[in-house]
Amino acid sequence: MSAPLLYALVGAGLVSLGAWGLVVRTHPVRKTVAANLMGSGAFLILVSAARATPAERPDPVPHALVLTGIVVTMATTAVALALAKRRAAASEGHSGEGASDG
Amino acid sequence: MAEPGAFAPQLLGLAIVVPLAAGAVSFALGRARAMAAALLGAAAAVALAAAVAWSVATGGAVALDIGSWVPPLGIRLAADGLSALFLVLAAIVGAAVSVDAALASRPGADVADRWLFWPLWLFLWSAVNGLFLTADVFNAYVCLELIGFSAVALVASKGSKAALDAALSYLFASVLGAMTYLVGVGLVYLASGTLALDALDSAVHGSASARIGLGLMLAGLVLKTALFPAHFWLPTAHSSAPPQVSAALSGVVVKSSYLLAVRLLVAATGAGSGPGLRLTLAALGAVAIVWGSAMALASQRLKLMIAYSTVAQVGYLFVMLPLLEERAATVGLAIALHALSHGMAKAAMFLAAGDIADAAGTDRFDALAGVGRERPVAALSLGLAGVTMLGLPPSGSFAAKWLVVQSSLASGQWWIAAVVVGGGLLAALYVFRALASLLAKPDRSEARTPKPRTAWAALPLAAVSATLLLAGPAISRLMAATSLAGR
Amino acid sequence: MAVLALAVSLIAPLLAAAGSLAFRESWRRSRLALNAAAAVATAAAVGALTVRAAGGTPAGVRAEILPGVVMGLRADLAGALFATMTSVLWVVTAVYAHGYMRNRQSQGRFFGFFALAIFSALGVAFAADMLTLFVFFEVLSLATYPLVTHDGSPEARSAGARYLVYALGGGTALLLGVAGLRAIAPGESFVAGGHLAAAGTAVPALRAVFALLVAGFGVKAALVPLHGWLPRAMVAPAPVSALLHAVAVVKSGVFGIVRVVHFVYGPDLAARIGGTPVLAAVAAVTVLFGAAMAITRDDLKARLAYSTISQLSYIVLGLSLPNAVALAGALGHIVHHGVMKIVLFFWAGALYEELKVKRVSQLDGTARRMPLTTLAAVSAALGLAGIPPLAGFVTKWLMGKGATTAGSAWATLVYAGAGALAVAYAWPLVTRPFRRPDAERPRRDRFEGDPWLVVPVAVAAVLALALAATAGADAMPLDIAGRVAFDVFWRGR
Repeated sequence: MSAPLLYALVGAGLVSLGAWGLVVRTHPVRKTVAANLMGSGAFLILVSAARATPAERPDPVPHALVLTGIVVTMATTAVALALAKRRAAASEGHSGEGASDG
Repeated sequence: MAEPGAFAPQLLGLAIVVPLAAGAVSFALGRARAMAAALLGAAAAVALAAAVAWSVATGGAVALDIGSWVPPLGIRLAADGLSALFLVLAAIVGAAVSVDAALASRPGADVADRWLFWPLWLFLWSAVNGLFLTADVFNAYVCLELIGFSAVALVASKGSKAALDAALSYLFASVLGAMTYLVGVGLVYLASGTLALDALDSAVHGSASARIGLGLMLAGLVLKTALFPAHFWLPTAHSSAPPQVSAALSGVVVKSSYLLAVRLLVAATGAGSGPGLRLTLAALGAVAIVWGSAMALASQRLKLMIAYSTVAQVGYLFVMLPLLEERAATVGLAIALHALSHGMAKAAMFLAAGDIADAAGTDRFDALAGVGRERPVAALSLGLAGVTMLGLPPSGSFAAKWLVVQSSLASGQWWIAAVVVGGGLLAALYVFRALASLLAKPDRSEARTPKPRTAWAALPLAAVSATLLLAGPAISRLMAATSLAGR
Repeated sequence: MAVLALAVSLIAPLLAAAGSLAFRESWRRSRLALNAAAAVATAAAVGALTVRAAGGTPAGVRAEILPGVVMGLRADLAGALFATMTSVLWVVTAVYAHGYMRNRQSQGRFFGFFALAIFSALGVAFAADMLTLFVFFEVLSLATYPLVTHDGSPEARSAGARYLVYALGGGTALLLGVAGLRAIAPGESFVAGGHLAAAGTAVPALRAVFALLVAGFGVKAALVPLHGWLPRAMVAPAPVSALLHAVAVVKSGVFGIVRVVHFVYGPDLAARIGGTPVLAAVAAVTVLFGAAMAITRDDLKARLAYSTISQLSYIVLGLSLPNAVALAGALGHIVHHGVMKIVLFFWAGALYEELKVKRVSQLDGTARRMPLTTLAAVSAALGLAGIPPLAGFVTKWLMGKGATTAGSAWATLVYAGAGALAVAYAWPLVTRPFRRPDAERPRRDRFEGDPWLVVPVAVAAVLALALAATAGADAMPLDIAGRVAFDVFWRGR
């Protein structure tokens, strides 16, 4: 088994784990962790795609994709955690600003 | 007029960059000037959409290679008739939403600290335009994520528990969909070495991993478009958001991932994944129509009803897909007509619902008696939007229904005609229930605190969607520059 | 120039609708002025179009609204007939409504949707093909719904819900029928005498499309058993019952059937596939059923409603017979009945407004209180009963005669029976107002009632009498009806 294929399979495994966690877990922080896991799996698949070509140098395009993806995942994590924090605060005391329900 | 043709490709880039820049400027200016800057940006975005549509109508499809880098290395933006029409939809709904939000910000209106609405809204608009115009599947992923962030933040903006819950649910569904899509992109790249949308079909043909990748991409998009049974996040998200946000989400955002899904589906025809896949999607669409309508009827709140109606409406868009194979031009036109008229009508409904909820203090049906008289503009908008929901002439959805019925009778797939016609009747049930509760005589005349009316933006939106049949020739002309026939 | 008249005839009511909705609630006079002006302009335009049509060159316009989907308008004689009735009666009704709606609420909404309904009825009249007709027909249903539920009372809302169910059901049948028709004969517009015979389609398909179309139109035309919405819809304000439910809405349904039988299928083909015989049977049942029910109703508007159901099927029966005279009578009856019925509904409205009278049993003594109105109503009621030489008699006579000539003796019997029943239900309307009431009514200061109500009633009654007096003359509705029938049966033979 070649290295790229191994990485790709591991990536696929991480994706499945992450997806499962994202769907099954209820706590927002756990979901966020699962999402990160899924993202890492996706990046692994992409990186292995870079190496899969039999050429000398790895293909730079997937690396660019992965970099973008890492940034996006980081932003997602930030948003998710901020929302989770707000939500936790909201259920503790007063319901926060703009409490008119919709 | 000096050579519009030469300038046209630049318009595509501007359509994405201008709202983005306006959003950034609006954020930088802070609370005092945010709205002004944003409104300017909105006006510019509308003008750009019109310009692109004009250019496509007169000169055919337009394409721009960003930075002159040629695919597969560079990112290409492309506008054919269908993209241009969706751009126009975003513009019309965007204009109405912006005007409505501006009206709602008048002093005396009950609005929380929401100046951040403006930059977020413009970012959303920019990302949606990006998704309509992109011809690169990874660029699409970025746009999908951008849409997700802006939309989630907007949904959460009310700050209430329900809104935050809805936003979290939306966020995770969005992330799941986008990640799945990304994995699919990875697999496709692994197999084909290209990210360009037009090159996909030849690349995908004959490669199992590419087919899996395509399937994953579609799955992610289906989740983002909220096709049954992946619709679970939509009703809460769309009904817990401020009315302008709901209008934008139901009216435009769900269509953006749909457009990409259709393009992928068409691109993959050569891979032999055609009939079975389309039939499955259509079957899910049929279930969505029935399920969404039933849940809409069972709703106790106006906004929740409208959100479930969106679930049903998405079903229509998928139920037509099997007919694309034989009758691409007609069905493509039907898709455009349907998306346009339903998008506008849905946005109008949410804007009107916002006004009604303002007047009554809540959007529960049992508290709405008599509000129809207080807010005649909102009630009329709801009624006109109802004309579109029911697929009655002269609305665009009637035109779409007509084309679909003709196509399905001609190609022998009768069940699609039955579903589409039946869907209109189902919609009648919940639309008239809503209108009836609005127009009912109140038990006692309550002293309601008079709040300013804001439904003026909803009325033209609903009126246009209810008479869209009249724009048939123009829309047909744009669609003539589109090819959904697959290869 | 002719296209301009066509445009005016449709745009005027549309403008009146928009204006009425937009005007402030208190701008009553402006609203009346707008509607009256629009009504007069429309009537004038329709008149010009009728002249054009009579000259043999009907005005028309077509457009390809979607690829392969052509829609169009064409003011031919048949359409001009229907449109003339609608537009002339709109003038009278606008005046009446101004008086009747005086103390009621939501007048803007009322007049706005009223004008919109007129617009759609005219669109139905001038449609050049089945798809266009269908589009305007559906808009008509939509426009009349707010009028039925105008009161907002639980009764009105339930009547409205029922109306909607019937209308949507009929609309679905129509949609499928029109789609089927397009599949058989794409792109064909109406031709006097029908155009389907040349298509050579299989009979089952022809039958299915015929059934769907007739069922769809039959809801509005109140054919049994699709008539259930009409009596309940009488909860609407009197002007609505008068113009829309006695004239425009129900006649649109009948008109649609005319188009199907004589301008799409043609009398020969319709008979051959068994369509018109079945239709005639259904109509006959409706004629007798409606008349019988009318006799049993004490509520005045309900009696008039069932009378309408019955008289509409006089028309449907007449047009299902393979005879030009019967068709001419039927088409003429569209107009004659419309004018007479409107007088009666106006009368019912005035009775309620002035004297709070709703029931036939309460009619005693009303002649003394409202002599002019009663006189007008009596003449209309006599006409309805088919008493010579009034308008109702003329057309009924023609239909009966046509039936005999066509060899359908049973149809003649039906007409005769219906005539007897009509006399039975109209008789109390004619005699009771002159009877001495059991209790003396309180004297009131003024003579008659609100002039806004009286004048339209009188004008409409005079119109009915004029129709009777000029029945044989050129350019009168009956003459036009005759020409249409001639075109249908003998053109292109």
